Amino acid sequence: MKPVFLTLQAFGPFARKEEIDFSKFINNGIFLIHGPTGSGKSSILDAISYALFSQTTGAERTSEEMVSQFSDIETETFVSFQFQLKNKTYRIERRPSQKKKSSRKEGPVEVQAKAALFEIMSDKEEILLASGAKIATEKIESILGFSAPQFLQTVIIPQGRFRDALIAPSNDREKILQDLFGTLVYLKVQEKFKEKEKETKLSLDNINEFKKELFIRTAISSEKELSDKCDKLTNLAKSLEEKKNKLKEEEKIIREALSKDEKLHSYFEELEALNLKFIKIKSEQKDIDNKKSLKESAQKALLIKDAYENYREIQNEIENLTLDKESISLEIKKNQTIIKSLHVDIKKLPDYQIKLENLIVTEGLLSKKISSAEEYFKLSDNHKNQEVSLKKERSKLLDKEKLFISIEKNKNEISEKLNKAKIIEASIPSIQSEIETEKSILFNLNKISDLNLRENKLIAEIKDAEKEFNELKNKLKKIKDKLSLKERQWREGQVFILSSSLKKNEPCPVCGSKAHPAPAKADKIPPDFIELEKARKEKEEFEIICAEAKENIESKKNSLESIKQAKKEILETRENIDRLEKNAILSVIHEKEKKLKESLGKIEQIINLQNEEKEIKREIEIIKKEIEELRGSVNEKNGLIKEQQALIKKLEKELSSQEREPDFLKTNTITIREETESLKTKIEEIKIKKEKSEKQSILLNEKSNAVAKNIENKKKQYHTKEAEFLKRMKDLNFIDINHFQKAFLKEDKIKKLNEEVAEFEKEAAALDKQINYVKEKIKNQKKPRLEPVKKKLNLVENEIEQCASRLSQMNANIKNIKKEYDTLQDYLKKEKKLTAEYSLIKEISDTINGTRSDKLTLQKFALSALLDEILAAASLRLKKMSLLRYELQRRRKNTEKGALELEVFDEHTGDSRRVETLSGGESFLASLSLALGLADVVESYEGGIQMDTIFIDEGFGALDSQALEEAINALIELKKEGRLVGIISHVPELKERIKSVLEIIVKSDNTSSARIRA
Amino acid sequence: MRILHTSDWHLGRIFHGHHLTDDQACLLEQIEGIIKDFNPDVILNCGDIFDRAMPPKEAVDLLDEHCSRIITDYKKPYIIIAGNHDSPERLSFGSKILQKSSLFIKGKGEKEISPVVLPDKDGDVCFYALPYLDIEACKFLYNDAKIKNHEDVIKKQVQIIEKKHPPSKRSVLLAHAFVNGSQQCESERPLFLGGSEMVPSSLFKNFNYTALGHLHRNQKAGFSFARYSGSLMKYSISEAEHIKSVNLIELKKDGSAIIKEEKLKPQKDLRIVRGKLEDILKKTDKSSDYLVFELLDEGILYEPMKRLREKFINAIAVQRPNQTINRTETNLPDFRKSTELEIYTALKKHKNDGKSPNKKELEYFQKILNEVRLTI
Repeated sequence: MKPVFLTLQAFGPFARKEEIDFSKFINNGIFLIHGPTGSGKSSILDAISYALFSQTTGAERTSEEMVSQFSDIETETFVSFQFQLKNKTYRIERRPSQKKKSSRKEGPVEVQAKAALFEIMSDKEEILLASGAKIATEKIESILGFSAPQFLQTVIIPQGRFRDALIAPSNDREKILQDLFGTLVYLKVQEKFKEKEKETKLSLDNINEFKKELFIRTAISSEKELSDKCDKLTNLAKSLEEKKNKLKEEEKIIREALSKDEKLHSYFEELEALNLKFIKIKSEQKDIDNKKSLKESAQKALLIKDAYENYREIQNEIENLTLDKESISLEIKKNQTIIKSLHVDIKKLPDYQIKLENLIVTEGLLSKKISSAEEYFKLSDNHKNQEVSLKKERSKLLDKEKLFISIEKNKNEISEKLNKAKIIEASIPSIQSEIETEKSILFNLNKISDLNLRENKLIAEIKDAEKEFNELKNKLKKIKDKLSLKERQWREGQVFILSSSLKKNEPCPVCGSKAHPAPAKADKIPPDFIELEKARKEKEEFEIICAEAKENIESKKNSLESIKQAKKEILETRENIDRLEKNAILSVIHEKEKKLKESLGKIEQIINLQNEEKEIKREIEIIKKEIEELRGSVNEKNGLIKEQQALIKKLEKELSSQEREPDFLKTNTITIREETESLKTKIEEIKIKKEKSEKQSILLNEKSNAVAKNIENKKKQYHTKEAEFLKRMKDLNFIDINHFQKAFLKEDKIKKLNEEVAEFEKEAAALDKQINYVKEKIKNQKKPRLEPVKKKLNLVENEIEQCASRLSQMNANIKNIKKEYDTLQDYLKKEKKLTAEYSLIKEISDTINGTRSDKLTLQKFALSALLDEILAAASLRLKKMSLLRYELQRRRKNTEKGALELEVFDEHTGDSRRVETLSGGESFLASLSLALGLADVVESYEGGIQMDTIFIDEGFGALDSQALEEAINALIELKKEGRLVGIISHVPELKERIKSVLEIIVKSDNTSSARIRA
Repeated sequence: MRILHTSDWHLGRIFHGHHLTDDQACLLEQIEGIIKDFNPDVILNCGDIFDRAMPPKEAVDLLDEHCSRIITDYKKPYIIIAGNHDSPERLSFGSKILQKSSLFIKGKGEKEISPVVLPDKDGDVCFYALPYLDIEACKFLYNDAKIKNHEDVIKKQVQIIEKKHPPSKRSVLLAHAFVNGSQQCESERPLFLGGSEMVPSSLFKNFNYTALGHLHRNQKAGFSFARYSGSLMKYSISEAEHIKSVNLIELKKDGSAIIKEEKLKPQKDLRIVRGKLEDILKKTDKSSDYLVFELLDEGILYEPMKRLREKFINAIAVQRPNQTINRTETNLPDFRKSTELEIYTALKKHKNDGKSPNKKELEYFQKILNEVRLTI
């Protein structure tokens, strides 16, 4: 596994995003992670370890603690690690659970841990292999071939933990080697054998248990016993069977005899019964005879039944008719009474009629009254309303008239005001002109004073200027003098120069003389040309200044003149103008202005007043109109009211006070109507009743006549029938009717009697026959006694039963025992097989799983050779690093702890001892050698895991310079084998030796940042 | 011109736990004696003055004393270059000032390699001192990305020198490198991680003499005018057979050089003693040399070191070439090469005094093994 690129953000002390490109180190093979304490060197390794396995190297910091304390909540903590393995590139990205700012909610939201594993193809495309924290870790484990604990002992050697691999107990080492070299199958086989051993043992135990149960069940203790028992029982069963058969035969014989006897016995019994029956029958004979005679007489009576019935029928009819007749006569009587009562009413009838007519008339009157009452009501209402409205209008009218008057007054006032205002208006312009004049006077005054001031000022200025000018003039004179002096000097100087350059017998440049008796002398340094020029310039300048000054004075004088002129002009406009008082004029102006303002104000008012006037005129017009209208309507109303009053008086005459109420009248009408109705009905009723009763009486009379006739007929019939019947009766030997009646029985009863008699006779006959038959059978035999035989039979039966039950039990027993025997055989067979198997398994299992005294297991054994090889490779390095002193080897003696324990052989003592006895620096060297030796062997193992990267976190500080030298050499060797070594160390020597450095810098805000210096 | 050439002093080195500073001090005294006798005109020290970049204080003291003696007492010009063990910056502290006193310390690489010119009766000799420069530093110094190995480094520098060297003058090159045609031993730190450290000796053909440092054996480097003086004393067990010396060179007017070696005798020699433990203890004389014992005993020895140290206080190591007790049992099967069945057989034998398992066992084992294989 070669690291390619690591990206981390907000991880540990790294507040922001850090990117580390490991490919820059690959060339050098060894690189150093360097930085101050606490800067985050180990955090880099934590990041790698966390990205792969979600675990930090020391397993002391949890992955949640990896969220940087220094980052803000918006920066998400994540690690992305890209690595290469067997020509494939993978990238794993992992985020721990952390609080993140939510875009939707207020405040931080706890976000779950996430992870994603990608494979990166050659075209930089990323294919997702696994997603989710746990799943990604599992996939990584399967890709890399080892899990976190092994990783942290072989690829990353964490700070302070390098000894773990060295002092790991045998079992842990076994696990690591198992994972690295894929010897899982051995472990599985071991386990399987253990399992099988258990299983087999369990089965054996089970069988034993069954056997035991069986023996308990059958209460025997060996196989042989069981079979003997079985045989014995079988024999017993046989004999029992024989016995039973014999008994059965006996039984049969007895039964035959018994049955014969029984038959005979039964015949005897029967005979007795029959005899009894016979006696009973005899007793019934008399009864039957009776019945016979009854039957006969009844039959006779039946013959004359019809006649009797006819005769009786007629009798009944006659009775009925008589009854009818009576009832009809009753009814007739009733009818008569009704008719009588009606007479009274009929008399009353005409009175009623008259009353009815009266009522109708009254009703008509009432209705008329009602209509007029209603009219009255309406009218009076209306009248009232009208009066009210009239009042209102009158008052309105009054108001309006009042208003009119007041407005007129207003109008007059306004027109007066208006006139006044017009007068004032006229006066305004004059005032304005006055004001103007005064203002101009003032203006002039001001001007004069102003001019005076200026005049004075100018005079002063001119004086000053003249003074100055004089001064300047003097100065100028002085300068001029100075200049001429200088000129003279210069000339003299020139002369001196000339004279000084005079040489004897050389002509003088001025005069040409060759003799120079008295050359000029200068007593001081003459001015040179430059000075002269300077002086000249000075003079010229000054002259200019003077000229300027003079001009200035001239101009001032001119202005003074103009001022004087102006003054004169003004004075000409008004005499003594300058004597006027300014203040007086001002006050006058002020007054006049005030007046003007007032007038103007007044003029404004005019406009208002005019408007008002207009308004008022309009109003007056309106009001006039209104008043007219109102007057008109008032008059109308008056007329109307008068009419109404007349009508009302008329109606009052017609109706009384009570009658003026329409309701009252209405109720009266209703009552009258009702009376009318009731009367009408009464009359009707009486009429109807009368008719009815008359009809009725006619009917009834007819009926009674009919009935009487009928009765006569019937009576006649009756007599004839009676005679007939009596005759027949006597023929049949009936004494009288009573006799006949008694004998009369219904038909079905007669039948029944017949039957009874017949039955009886049948029975008697049968019985007779039976008795004879039985007597035959019995003939000359005695009644047998059954009891003893029966008893005997019973005994025998019982015995048989007993036998049978015993037999069945025995058979069942035998069956059971046979079954048990079979089961037992079965168990024994199984036991044999299992025992053989078990011994085999145990043999193997003990061998491969080890026993308490010898813990060597198959896998450990298999790995021993491997471990030896690893240790040999490690020892090569260790020997060098420890200066020929130490070697690592596998523990030979005292292997109770396991077969994969390490010990160190010390050349100096010639003996080996436990690795824990090494000092800090020595054990660091030993761990390092072990890690390197392991890596060597793993690499060489085909199909093994690639261990081509190793990170070492500190430990070098425990070494002295020579050991350090050796250690570094050993690590540098790795580069030749194509491996990458990353070292975290403070040791300064390492900084000197290793040029590729990953520098961790701590910034001013306490956060860290990583930078590569290759 | 007479030249004394030495190198690889490794002052401050710790050897198997022993501080060698005292021994080194003694040897430096010897060198001073040689200087007195030979009277060279210049002394060349070709690198690895200190054993590490931050040497212990005694070592610094020692060098300080020695240099001041050479300069002030013997008044000899002294040219020193930094080797791969030295820290260039630390070594060249005060180098500019010291130049004035004829102590020329070249620690850091210079772009323009200016020679130390020392005159003699025959003329000037230009001494070009190349301190050890690693590839990255060289790349940076000359701003040349094409420098890939030490050969390129030396080549570049030699080119610069040869461009400016007045051909009439004699020239001596000081360099710290691993030159082709020479032998390494254990105590030399590899110059470059990656083995790209070989320098062909042809680069030095134009110099009258090339004084080399880095390798600890006194030897020629390809041809006789390029020489290693070897280290001051024996610094590893592999050097036990070396003879430690300094080179004394007589450079003639015509540029030829007569080279002699002057042996150095250390206070405590590093020797290998062979024999059986008892013999050694009885017969060998007591000694305080650094001794490496090759014990020829075959069996287990009890506390050999302790006993040896009683007589030989500076015993360094014990080696057992004949030890027959195999630390590894050779009869263990290797699971990578054997089948599971074979391993089982071996285990059975191991546990049961060599009895092999019977056929039934093996069959059963195989059966279960197949079952298990299916589940994995």
